[in-house]
Amino acid sequence: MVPILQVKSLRYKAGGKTIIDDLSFSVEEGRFVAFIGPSSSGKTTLLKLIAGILPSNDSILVGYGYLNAKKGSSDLSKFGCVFSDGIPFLFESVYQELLFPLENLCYTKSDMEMRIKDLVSFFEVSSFLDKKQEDLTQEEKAILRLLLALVHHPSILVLDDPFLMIGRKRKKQVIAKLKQYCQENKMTLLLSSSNLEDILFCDYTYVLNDGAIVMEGSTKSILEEDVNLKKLGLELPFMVDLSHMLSFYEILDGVYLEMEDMVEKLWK
Amino acid sequence: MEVKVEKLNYTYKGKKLLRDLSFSISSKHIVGLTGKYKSLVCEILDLTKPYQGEIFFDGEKIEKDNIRKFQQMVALISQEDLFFMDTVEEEMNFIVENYQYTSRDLKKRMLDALKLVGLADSFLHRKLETLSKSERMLIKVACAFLVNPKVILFDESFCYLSHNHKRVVLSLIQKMKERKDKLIVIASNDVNLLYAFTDLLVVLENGECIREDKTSVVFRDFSFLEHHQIELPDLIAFTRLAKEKGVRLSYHKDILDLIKDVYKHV
Repeated sequence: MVPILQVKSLRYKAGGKTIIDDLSFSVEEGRFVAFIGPSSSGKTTLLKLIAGILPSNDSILVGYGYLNAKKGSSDLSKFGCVFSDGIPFLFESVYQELLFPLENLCYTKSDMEMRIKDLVSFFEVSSFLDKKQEDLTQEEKAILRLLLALVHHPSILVLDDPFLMIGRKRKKQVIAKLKQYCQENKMTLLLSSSNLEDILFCDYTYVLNDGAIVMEGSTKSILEEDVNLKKLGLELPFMVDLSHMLSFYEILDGVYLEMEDMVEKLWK
Repeated sequence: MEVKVEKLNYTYKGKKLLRDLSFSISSKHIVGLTGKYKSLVCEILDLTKPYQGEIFFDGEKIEKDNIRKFQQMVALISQEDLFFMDTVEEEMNFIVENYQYTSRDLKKRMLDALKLVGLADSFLHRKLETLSKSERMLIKVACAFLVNPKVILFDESFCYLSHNHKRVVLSLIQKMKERKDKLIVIASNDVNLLYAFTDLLVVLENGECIREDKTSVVFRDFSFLEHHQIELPDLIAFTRLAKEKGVRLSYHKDILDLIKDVYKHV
């Protein structure tokens, strides 16, 4: 079974600087993979290379085909992406914005309408369809970008810090929905995040620094490396940090992600 | 520096967004601003948006004939990742011209601003598009401090900053408050950030100010927070749960203090 994505000795330089330094890894279909690392570690550049936005010169294989933006792309419609420095919205109405990718892919009229309706109702944002771009809050715009990445049924989702503008409470709901959606549609998800709380739903995590992979493993095991993560300048989610520190003082054993569970364990 | 806002009204496309909004803040505190339309309030305080109502800077009312003077005293660090120019130096020059700021040695001032946010001199010549999001946000902060404003508004700018960069900016804010009488306003819905770094909280809802109080007091007023659907900061939520079990933990602003307290009670 060929991995859906294979990265082989990927290198990328810009302005004389090495941004990606000989990276190799592969991703199986249906996995949720996270990329974390300090600022300027190459997360955004790596995701852009994977999504075919930056040229990668025969270093990236998607299924059986090489991804090479210079020679002409392999099936880029397989990808759905969210980048923060992305293109601004093109249309005044949210509905029109969602139609655009589908029109470009020649969906029939009824298929387009049904697709958009299903998607917004799954994410519980049906109210978006009557709105104009300028009426959306930053939070809602971020959710819309997510929908735009999903609307054309991609098989690989590439998300670069997509939840930045979404408040914590709403974010939990959005992530839960996203996880469910990707699982139901057997999608592969690549997520980069500056907030380690966001990666908890991913199975596997790569830690980047200076364009290279410095740590990798199950997300759970990576979050246990509190000393190394802190050395890289990364902030641990509150409950993970608290768990580690209490473990250090031998008051607790293991990581408790839910406050109620930890309080229960400490003071039965 | 004192800023007073009296009966601020703002209508957009026939809808009233701000209704008789009034509050009063001073550089005595690091001020947190939270709730819907906080970005709009920041833009109005930046004096770049028309409004109805009155705004006073140090007791002087802002009018058409003196607004230019006051605009040069305020800097807004917005959440948008947008710049006017290509390189850091060009951007800084642009901001300086916009603020009609004069300095005997502008180049030195720019390098000082970079140093203030922990960036090396070499960043001056960098192209903004080659910087990470977090570095670009630091440049925005540097640009704001460059023109020596009396009021600095951070509009949800912290979410783009990496953990280390956030710490740099927050310690900078502390220093500014202690030494230079600058009024710092942090507009955010991140309750953990507000709890840890602000002393006074202005809470907005439905276009009005529903609370103007010490941050630590607001975040312990559970019925208020529940009623207005405001999250509890993690440190407070944890202590509250423990207290409900009869454990006599105190409310802390720092996780290390919490750990020490937990240690005493197990």
